[in-house]
Amino acid sequence: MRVLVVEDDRELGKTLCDALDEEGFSPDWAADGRQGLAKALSREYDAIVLDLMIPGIDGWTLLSRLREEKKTPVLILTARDALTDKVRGLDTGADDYLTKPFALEELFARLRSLLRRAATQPAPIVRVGDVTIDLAARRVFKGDAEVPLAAKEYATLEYLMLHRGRLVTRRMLQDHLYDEHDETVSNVVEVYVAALRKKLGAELIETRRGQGYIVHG
Amino acid sequence: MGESPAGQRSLHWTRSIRVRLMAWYSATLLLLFVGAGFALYFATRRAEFEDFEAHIESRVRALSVALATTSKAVAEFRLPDELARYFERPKPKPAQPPTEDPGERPYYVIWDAQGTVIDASILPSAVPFFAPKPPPHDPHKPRWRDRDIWREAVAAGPHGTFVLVGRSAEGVRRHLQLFLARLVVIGAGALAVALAGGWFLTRQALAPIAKITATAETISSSNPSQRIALDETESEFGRLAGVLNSAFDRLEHALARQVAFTADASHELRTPLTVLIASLDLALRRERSADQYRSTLAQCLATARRMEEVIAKLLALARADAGPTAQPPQPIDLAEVVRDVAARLEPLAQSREVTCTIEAADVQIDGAPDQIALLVETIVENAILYNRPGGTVHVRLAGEESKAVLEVRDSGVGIPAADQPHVFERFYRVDKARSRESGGCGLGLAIAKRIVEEHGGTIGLSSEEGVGTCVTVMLPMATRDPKAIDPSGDA
Repeated sequence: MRVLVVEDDRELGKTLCDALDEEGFSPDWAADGRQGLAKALSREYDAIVLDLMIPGIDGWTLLSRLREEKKTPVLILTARDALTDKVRGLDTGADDYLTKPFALEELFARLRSLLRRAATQPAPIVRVGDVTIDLAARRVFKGDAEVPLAAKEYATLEYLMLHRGRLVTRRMLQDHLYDEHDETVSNVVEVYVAALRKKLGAELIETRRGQGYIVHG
Repeated sequence: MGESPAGQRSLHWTRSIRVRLMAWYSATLLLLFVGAGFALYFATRRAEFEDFEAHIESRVRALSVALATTSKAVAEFRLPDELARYFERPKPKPAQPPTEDPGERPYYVIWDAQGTVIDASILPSAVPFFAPKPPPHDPHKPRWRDRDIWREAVAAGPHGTFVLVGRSAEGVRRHLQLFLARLVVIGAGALAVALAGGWFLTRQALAPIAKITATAETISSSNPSQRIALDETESEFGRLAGVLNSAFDRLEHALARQVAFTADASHELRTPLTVLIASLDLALRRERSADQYRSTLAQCLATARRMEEVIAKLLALARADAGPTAQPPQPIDLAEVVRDVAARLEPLAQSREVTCTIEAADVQIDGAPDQIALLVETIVENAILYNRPGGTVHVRLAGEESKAVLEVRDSGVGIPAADQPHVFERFYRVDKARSRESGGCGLGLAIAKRIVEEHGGTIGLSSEEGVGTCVTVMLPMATRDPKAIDPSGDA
């Protein structure tokens, strides 16, 4: 899942990106409002983590400009904990609000919840055939047996499952699974899909030649 | 004390200004009315009795004249006809005068020197003989006596006789009682009207206070931007409302500044705290290599140092805000302070490849030494930090008239004109990202300004982007300068 982090504090931005990366997200970082807005408008992010007190354009302005064009889920992450700030943030179009300092665990849980809602998938458990994926615990089962997956394998499967019944192109997978620093080797998606088929069964993911992949729900 | 807020708001009735005002007003009015009533009553009473007595005295005189001019012997005296209309007289003269209530009519008795009745009218009762010693200077002036309800005057008449005329005082007394009753009723009525008027007037006069109280309550509880709206701007209450409104203005501004400052301060502290927690949280999520732990620890240390600096600056600001320190101002050699600060900052200047030059005249000021040192250090440090490699910082200290002038000129990046009016505001940063790298948190110049103000001076700044910035501080010079204080000096 591709996430944009708009945070002016260099240390915090770096730490957040490292943590999100370890958790299987693909984070991009923007250090000010202008850069953040440009990135948010030019790419399809799955979620945006937004600080309010940022130079250039402040967080509220960024959010209202973004909302004119896109409905990307936005989680505000800020030191401003006053009730009026929360109300203003949510009313400007944010989907969630978390105050600093925060626990990484909570940030991840809120991001997962945002992503589920964006995929109109409120339940954290998704079943397709005999494969079960627990989006909250990030665990995958075939029948009753848990199948261990690498972070990127899981991210690929999660994206396909959340968009099940719909065609997912290779481009979409690349955009959502890898951040801007990843070497986008052309066949990397095929490698992960092949690994998933090997672990979970060949019939789970169907290939549409020349178009992409589809998981039938 | 110990009262609930609601208890303080609802006034006990005995403490109400209106009630107290009315109490004083009523007491004064009552005193005035009772006093006036008494005076009026006694004056009337005196006039009535004088009238009554003059009446009787004139009868005594008439009888005496009749006695003196009678053609018969005194023992044979009969009341002449011209006086008969004044008295009720038994037709034939009886041996003993008959007794009968004469009502309001006067009666008389004439005795000879032995107390034998010579003549009398119908009497209310047997009138005992009364032969007073006549006053020496006026032997015919009557003497008075009160007998039951009757008031009687006795005078020595001609030929050793005594003439008594009496009359019931009941009529006068009844008349006076009626007068008193009317006086009380009219007085009470007037008092009631005056009190009602007073109650109404005090309500009218104190109504603006109720309005002011209501507004002030709203301001303190919910809406700090509300103001007292009084129509009468010229009255005492109008002026009070004006004074209160301007006080509320200042309070609201101070409150807004305080809120902004608190928000900024908490942001400045919370951001590094967030970095600390997030870094440690991330590091502990799984086993890491020694290098990774080392880098996390280094990051945490740098972040903790940043927090330490913000806290130190906030404390300095709070200290400057707290006002003048308890100890009296001390003499400070400003040139020495400048040289000390420059020496302390030399390593920083070298690391930034900035050259510092000093041109310091001998200038003395009075103040708090640590604060003045912090002031000079803040300005010079800024000049070094916001400079370019190979740049210069020139510090000039001079005494001009009664002012110490400190000028710090750098060849740095300069400050955009739009930002210049705001650089002395707390937490204002021209370029947030850049100054964060330089370790600034937007408090340095705000602290400098507070210290300068505390010492009765001024601070200003002129800057051109790309050319450099010049900060000028003016402080009052020390008054114990020998030239200024020594009468034999040329000053």
